[in-house]
Amino acid sequence: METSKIQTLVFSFMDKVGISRTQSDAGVWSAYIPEAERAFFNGYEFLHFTFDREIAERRRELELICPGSFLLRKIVDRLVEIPKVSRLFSNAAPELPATGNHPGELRVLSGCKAHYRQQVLFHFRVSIIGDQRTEQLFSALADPAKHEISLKEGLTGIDLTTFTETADPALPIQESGEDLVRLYLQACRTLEASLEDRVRELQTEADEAFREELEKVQAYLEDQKKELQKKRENVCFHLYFFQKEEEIDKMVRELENEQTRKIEELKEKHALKIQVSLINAVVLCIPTLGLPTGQTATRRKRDSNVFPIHLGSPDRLEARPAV
Amino acid sequence: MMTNTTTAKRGPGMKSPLVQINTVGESGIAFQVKGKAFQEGYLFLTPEMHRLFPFKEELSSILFVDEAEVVHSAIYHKGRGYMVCLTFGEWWEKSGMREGDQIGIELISLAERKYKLSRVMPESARAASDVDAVTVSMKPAADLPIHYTPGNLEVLRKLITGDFSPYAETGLILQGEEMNARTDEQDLLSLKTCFGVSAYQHQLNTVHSVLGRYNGRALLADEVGLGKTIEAGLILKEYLLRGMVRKVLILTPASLITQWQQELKTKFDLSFKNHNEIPDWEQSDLVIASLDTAKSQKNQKSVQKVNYDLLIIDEAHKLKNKKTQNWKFVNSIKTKYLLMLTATPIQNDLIELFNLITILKPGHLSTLQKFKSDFLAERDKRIPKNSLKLRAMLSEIMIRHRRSDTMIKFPQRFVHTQTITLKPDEARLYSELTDFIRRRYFTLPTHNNPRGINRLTLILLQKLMGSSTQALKRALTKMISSNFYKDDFDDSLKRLLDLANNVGMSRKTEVLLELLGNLNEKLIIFTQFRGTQDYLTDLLRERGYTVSVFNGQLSQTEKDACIEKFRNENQILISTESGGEGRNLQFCKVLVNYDLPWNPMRIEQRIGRIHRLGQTDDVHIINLSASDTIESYVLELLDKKINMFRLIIGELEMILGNMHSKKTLEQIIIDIVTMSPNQEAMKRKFQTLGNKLERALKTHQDITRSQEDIFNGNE
Repeated sequence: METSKIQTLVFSFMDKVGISRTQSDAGVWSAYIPEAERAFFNGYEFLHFTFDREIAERRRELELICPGSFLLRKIVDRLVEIPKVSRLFSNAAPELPATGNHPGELRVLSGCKAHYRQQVLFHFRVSIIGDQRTEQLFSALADPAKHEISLKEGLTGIDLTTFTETADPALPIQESGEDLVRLYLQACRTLEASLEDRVRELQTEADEAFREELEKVQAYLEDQKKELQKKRENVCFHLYFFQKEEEIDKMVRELENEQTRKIEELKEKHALKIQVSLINAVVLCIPTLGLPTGQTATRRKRDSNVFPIHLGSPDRLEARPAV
Repeated sequence: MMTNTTTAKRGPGMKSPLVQINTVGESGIAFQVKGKAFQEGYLFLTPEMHRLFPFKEELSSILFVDEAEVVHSAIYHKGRGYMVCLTFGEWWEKSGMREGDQIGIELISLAERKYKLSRVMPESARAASDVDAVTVSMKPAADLPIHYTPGNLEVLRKLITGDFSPYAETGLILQGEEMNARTDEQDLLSLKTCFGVSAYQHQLNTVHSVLGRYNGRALLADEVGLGKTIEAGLILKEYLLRGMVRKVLILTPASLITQWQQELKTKFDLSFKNHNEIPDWEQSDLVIASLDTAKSQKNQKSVQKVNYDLLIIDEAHKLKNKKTQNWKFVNSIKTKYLLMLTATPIQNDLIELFNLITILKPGHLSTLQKFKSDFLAERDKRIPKNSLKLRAMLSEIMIRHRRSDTMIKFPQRFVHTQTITLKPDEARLYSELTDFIRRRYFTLPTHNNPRGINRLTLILLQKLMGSSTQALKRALTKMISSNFYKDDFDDSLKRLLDLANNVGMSRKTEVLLELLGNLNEKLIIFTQFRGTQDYLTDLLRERGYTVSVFNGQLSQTEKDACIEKFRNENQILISTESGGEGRNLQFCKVLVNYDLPWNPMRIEQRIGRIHRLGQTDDVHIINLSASDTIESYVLELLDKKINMFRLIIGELEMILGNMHSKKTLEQIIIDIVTMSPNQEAMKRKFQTLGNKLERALKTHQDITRSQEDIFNGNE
């Protein structure tokens, strides 16, 4: 990521959380951190930073924000927590509506109007947290018209030459708000299915490591307890044996508490967690011929006519964009 | 359950009327569904059902647990009055539901938004089914430990309500995410974002091992000078960048807090807060504190409350005794990862090592009794039996590199001390000033006369005299002209100033000039005082030398320029100690101590600027010392008694630690200087201190030898 983009990202974050900044020197910025944000900056009231490694090398009092820097990582993590959804409109020529079971059909379209149908691109970050932590990014393109979710690893970059943020006013947008919850759940399910094998493998490894350490800790603490109990048996020879007994009992209790605490620590350490964060979603509006679904059959009849005509083998012929 | 039967009627906001409520209770409801909506994953809520789902958010994540403990995840869309769950259909089929059968939903936990989903059997059917009950075992469809972050629903809400942001913002976050995403797990992210850290192979091996097979809990026990702090810093930064660690606590001896803070900032770009700077321990993620402060009555409970991700203990040999508060306290801190740093894991006996390892991994060396019987020799507690087995066990938790293992060429230090005899006028000034200070030290200031010279100023005068007459003159002139000292003084200060004014060029300066005449390479002259720095700068420039001047008054840009000029053009750098920490001055290999700080650590820091990992040439240290001065006694202590100038980096600290004194060496020296009635008494006290230092050195050597035997000796 270029410095200018990092700068934009950081400044956009600062604007969001109300941090004002000034450029104090060439390439050097100073920011006042408001009370509410100080915990994020480890309690500091002022942040002096640069995006330029060379400057940071010379001036080590500055915070360097660059690819791989701790602060940038934290900022990106915070930004992901700020929900973002965008909508883009394709510049491409309108597509033909889905043809169902007849992919090779030739269709005659008359009086047919185009509209935007919506696809949703979900971007997920999956963090697998065990004794190691790995992160994977996924994109799931949900296409309600085709009833399919296509999942791929990595984020899908959108070519902004083929998409724009302004809709063609002549094209209505097909509303499918009702389906969005379902689409999201479907995308999550597809994601889970793709992760399942790996997660099970990691889970087995984590369980084994946990068992191994647990056995050691428990054996150690149990042995210690036995040693104490043995001591307790011999306290009758002690002059103040009541007092001694009490002391040993206290030590046993402390040991038991320690055991509980250590086991909890071990559990926590070896617990495998898969955290799925929806980074953001982009609604892609694709111009499509035909009426938006959900409009009444009578209206559809009046406004457009789509006559599917089968021509030979569907293998040889494809439905092509009408325009 | 209270019986109440209603049929939901189609309302404007309700998509389906196909739910018929049969029974409604305080925390549960039974109903029938008609049509296929439920099987397809939709449940349209009737007004009776809304009471069971009293959530304010537009979208809520709901969990249904069925009879087979399978969790079904649903999203409740309050605005539209329905919920979607993709596995309702699976449950319907596996439960053998038929249209007309009743579904029961019962609240388990409102906080967790968890409900029980069940098939409600009619009384008659239940009786019948008890007879010919068929056990259907269902495996959880998704028992993966997957958690969806709550923010997901917020994105979904924006999606549903059409609350769109410009793509520039969304796209930028995606780019940031891609940048943060790790590509190769073997790569150390920390290396790319460090400054001036040229990590050696042994350090990289340590980092990889700790992150990998040691799983974040290890005893880093490299010999001194091999960069344990760098190793710990790299591990810490790596964990932070990998997102595995958020809350970090570093516990060090109080005297090392600033040094750690500076190293972490300058080398790793990590700003740690000293615990004094924060109101409570929870508030800051990256905290550094002294072990003593953390374990104090005031702080102990707060520290124990926090769940740390990483705890770093420097000088971990302070936890060698299991019965101490130190041990008990550190053992009680909750932390996922733990790094313990010490060059001397064993000081007196092997039990100390056992105690350290027990904090890291309880049970790793079994119980104390078993450890004793397995590994402790009868005669000498420092020498183990079965040492091969012990070493194998230790290798699973402890990393120790020796200098000889690393193949790093460590340049030598050569020390040259020029003993100078003061000129008579200098000697007179020195002796009068020392007497004056001794007289004044315990008399001023008083309650009645609070405006007298305070002790710090007196000590400063003594140190200034040790540096140069010019520095002393400047200070005396300032004091005399200041209103603060005007009423409470006899003419002592004026007299001293007169004496100073009569001193010409000092012998020390003459020796320096002779030295420079014979040297034709870059050198750094260190002095503690600006007065001396200015004097030397003027003098050397007059004599035609090219001089760079470095001190704390310079701005960052000026400091950069100064170092660059010294690197590329000038022959001499005159520096006060206030600047230059962490700066790379390894291109120079000659250092002149024009004056000598009483604190040996400051001398070590001076030497450390040029004698450090990365220096390829041997280093020459030239001390200019006037005989029969305090500086000469200090020099004798450090040079003759503990060979300070020949020690390995880091050893001095360990030797001083062996003195087990609550006062620093500088404080002890101040006491000797001020409390000795005369020169002879002072000399005797310096001798006693020298003997103590010798013993500390001997202890250090014994420890080093016994560790060598344990970790590397023969079976």
